[in-house]
Amino acid sequence: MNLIHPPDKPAGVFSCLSKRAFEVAIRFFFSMSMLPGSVRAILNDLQTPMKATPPPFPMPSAPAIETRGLTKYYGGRPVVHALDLRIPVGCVYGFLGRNGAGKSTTIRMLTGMLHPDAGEAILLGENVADLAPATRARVAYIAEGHPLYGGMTIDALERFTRPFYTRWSPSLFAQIIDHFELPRRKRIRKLSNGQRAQVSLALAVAPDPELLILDDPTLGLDTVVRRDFLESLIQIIQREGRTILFSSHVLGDVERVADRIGIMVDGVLRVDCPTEHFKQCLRKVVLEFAGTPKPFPQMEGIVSDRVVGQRRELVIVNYVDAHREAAESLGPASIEVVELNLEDAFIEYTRGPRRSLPVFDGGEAHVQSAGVQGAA
Amino acid sequence: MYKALAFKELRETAWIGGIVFAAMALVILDQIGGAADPWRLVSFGMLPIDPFESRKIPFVHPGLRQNLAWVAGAGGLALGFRQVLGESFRSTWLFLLHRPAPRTGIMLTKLVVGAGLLVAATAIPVLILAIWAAVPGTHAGPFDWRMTNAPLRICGGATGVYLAAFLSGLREARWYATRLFPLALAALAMFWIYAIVWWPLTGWFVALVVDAVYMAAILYTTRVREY
Repeated sequence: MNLIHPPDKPAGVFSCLSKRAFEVAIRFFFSMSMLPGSVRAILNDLQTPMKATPPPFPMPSAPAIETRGLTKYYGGRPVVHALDLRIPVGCVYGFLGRNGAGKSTTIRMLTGMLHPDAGEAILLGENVADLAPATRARVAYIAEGHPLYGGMTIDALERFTRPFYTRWSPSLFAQIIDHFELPRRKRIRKLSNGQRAQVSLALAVAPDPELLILDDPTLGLDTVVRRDFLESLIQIIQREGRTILFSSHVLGDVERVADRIGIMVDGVLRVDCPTEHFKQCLRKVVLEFAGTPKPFPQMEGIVSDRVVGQRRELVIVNYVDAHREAAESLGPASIEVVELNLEDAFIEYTRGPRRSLPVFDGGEAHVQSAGVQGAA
Repeated sequence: MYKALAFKELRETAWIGGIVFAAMALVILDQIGGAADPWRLVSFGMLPIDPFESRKIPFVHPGLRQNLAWVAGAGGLALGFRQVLGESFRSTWLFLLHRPAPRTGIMLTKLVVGAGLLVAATAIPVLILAIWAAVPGTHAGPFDWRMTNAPLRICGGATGVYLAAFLSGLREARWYATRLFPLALAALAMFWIYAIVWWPLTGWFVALVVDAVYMAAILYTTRVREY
């Protein structure tokens, strides 16, 4: 299910599926159910994206990651609140959110490093609280900052890690190390951040995992190393149909890699939909007035509303005719509906009422912050 | 896989074992009469000269038990904290505990290596001293193997200090509150083992009880703590 909630609304109150999209889905469902079974099967096959190589892992109907009401409190404050997440097998899932939104806490709960205060997490069909070593071997986890044993060389680290896995591929490990031209006999503490990230990737991939959980794997890497890291990630992992959950602050990376995104805002999952869908759902509407901008009526789907000089800028989830009519009724000089890229959409969606300090230039330009008015 | 983990632990803590062994070698040499009193060595000769310095009888002179208690206790502290805080400061718990092995197994491997290293580094010098003392003509004094009981009890008791340090490092309480509580208890137990020489069995009993309690507490903490 695709979900995009206005940032101030709790999950489960508002569905991202616009009425129009819902109608289309219903019509499609009924038209399919009228067709004979054989035709339906062929159509279904045609709709299945072609893959260069068949996935090596069985594709069970159970999701790779599932959480039910996952909740974690710190100091009486919910850092993750009633998280219901379902990531299908084979999906590359970008997990987004501002600092402190609850991404890392969620990831640590998913890997069993933190215990949830409520709810449960299920990885590859098994509850994380009782995750068997054999199942854990099928899950790779790269923690934030790539924590590795600094005193070990890459070779020593491989010798340490390898005996834990039955499906360890020495050739794949060597391939990755050679590809990145990493010095095998150098101690980890003497490697750069980028090189440590590459070693982490090699260690994560060599056991042939079915699920990869990466907590901000490109944090602190320069642009070139980051691109290299991501491309390797895509080549090595995605082609084989593995499931990947990765958090990141670099929206360009997410846009390039993720099929689906989830956005956490203050511990609540507000968005859970395909990446493209999120971009399509969000629109920035700029109303240019001759004088003082008139107030926009409270309506469903408004994420933010601010006045910049003689302009009123609105960010709207699921921009529909009702929004357009309301905008026209204010009699602006012009109405511009702007499509947003993922980064802009993310920023507009998550920054809330507190904005960056305005820059005053000769006293002319000023920015007023109206805050989030997301009535839904 | 436990072998790999044990090697990793050994590689990380061998230097502490080496220091403990070297300190114990000084203690033993002092007993044999081949070196100055280690405390005088450390204090650059500022401590008063022991009037019995030249007439030490191995396993009879109290210096052995006293120095052994300090060295083994300090070694236990260093090993316990190194094994836990080393992982915490580098955030490598996240790497280590995601390896596909039961957490209990991972922790037990750490404990076996740490305690084994401590016992080896302290007890082996004591046994060397005992073998030397058992050879007739090496010193002007009596020797019976039962005389090794008290020093070896201290070596065993030091594992309680080691486990307490491990537990203190593992527990997520405040340092100035209850986090060091296990260490205080272990110090008391160590004092008991050191001081009660007339009923040796109590010393071993206390050492075993302390170790068992702390092992259980460590395994419980491993399961419930967050990383």
